Amino acid sequence: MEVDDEAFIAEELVEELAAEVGEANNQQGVPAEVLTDKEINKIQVELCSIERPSWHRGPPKNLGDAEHGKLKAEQWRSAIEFDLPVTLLKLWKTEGGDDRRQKLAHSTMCLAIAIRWGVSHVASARHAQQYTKYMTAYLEGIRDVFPGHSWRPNHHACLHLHEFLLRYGPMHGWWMFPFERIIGVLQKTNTNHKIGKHLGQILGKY
Amino acid sequence: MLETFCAAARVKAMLNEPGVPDVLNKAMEILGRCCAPFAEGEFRTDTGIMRAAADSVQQVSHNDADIRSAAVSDVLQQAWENANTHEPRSVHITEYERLTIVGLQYCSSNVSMRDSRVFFRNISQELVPGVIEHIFSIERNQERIYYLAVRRNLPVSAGCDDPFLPYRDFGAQLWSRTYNKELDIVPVERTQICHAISTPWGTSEMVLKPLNRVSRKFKSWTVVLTHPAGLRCNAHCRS
Repeated sequence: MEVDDEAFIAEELVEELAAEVGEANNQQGVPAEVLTDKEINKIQVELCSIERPSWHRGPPKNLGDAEHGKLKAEQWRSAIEFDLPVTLLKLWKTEGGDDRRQKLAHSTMCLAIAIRWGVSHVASARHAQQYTKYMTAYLEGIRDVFPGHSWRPNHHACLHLHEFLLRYGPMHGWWMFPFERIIGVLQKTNTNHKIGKHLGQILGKY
Repeated sequence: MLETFCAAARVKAMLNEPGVPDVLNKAMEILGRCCAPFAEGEFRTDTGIMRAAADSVQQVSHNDADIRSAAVSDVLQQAWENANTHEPRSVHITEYERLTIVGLQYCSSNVSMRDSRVFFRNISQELVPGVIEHIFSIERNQERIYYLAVRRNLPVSAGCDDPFLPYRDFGAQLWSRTYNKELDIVPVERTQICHAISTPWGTSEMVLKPLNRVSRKFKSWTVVLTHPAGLRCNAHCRS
């Protein structure tokens, strides 16, 4: 029961913070949602025109709708690797878009480049420096477009990644995807909810 | 994997100690020279895009069911004769619909447009996009040598404004939707090749970006440790 109480308290805190953020955004006259339904439809049309190899899994064609559910890591990767930066640049930089949208397109491009430097198979001082440069540009862009935006722990953490690149080398060697995969396997394992009784058996399996 | 990571961390800690053996210091220098961490203008090679082709020796294969029975087209025959391959001009050519290169399937454009759009290094060592029109092989000394016949995309016209130029590190670029009249004959085992992702841009251009290979096909991967003084230490690991 204690666990439930803690969860409830955390939920209250999150709701309280979300309300504060919403209020702050409204006070500054900046809507939290930048994309209109029409723009989302346009993006979806553009996504359909992207041609990719058969092994490459792109984001869902109805990206932005609630129906597709949570995106897989692979879909997030492909979305930021090509689909979203190119689509936003096409719609807002060349076919016309207000200043705010152009900044958002630029910001998305900075994020894509930061990720490209960050997940390189080679790590060097230059890689770490370039990663930080573009990640900072992305965050500054977000701050500019959404002045009342409430920063999340991930926004803070991503500015420390350059230290890890220098200390531990390329991200592929220490990122958490293999562990996430194992967690996924464990979650699909049938259990009788009696934790600890058959630990040896489970460990033996892996 | 965790054990490999710990082993690599121990190696790195050892290299940081003052009493590190001279031989390791020398190895550091050699590795540093061989694997330049960053070469201006070659960022794309860092992201492993070309890993597939670089590791491709003896990793090219075909399925006999994909051998085309039709006679070799005049266009391909002429392209072969014009190409500077140092091979005899009148040689038996076997044509295929698909070819597997390091676990990834490449097709001719009449089989699948998606798997036929590639980037490759041309004679001038520039990374250029194109569409595979023919996949074929010849035999030399009982050894099969595979080639691709690729129709290259032409560069955009001089007056065209490429919005991706300010974002060079993103890796995408505008190319014309018009193709070269000549076919490029690309030797598979000696040329860097990778798939491309693309989308139309305006009426006569398209955006093309070379793609990294899919990570789950990797049988082994490389950990690169970076020493504060520029040391790089590569260790091949099993995933």
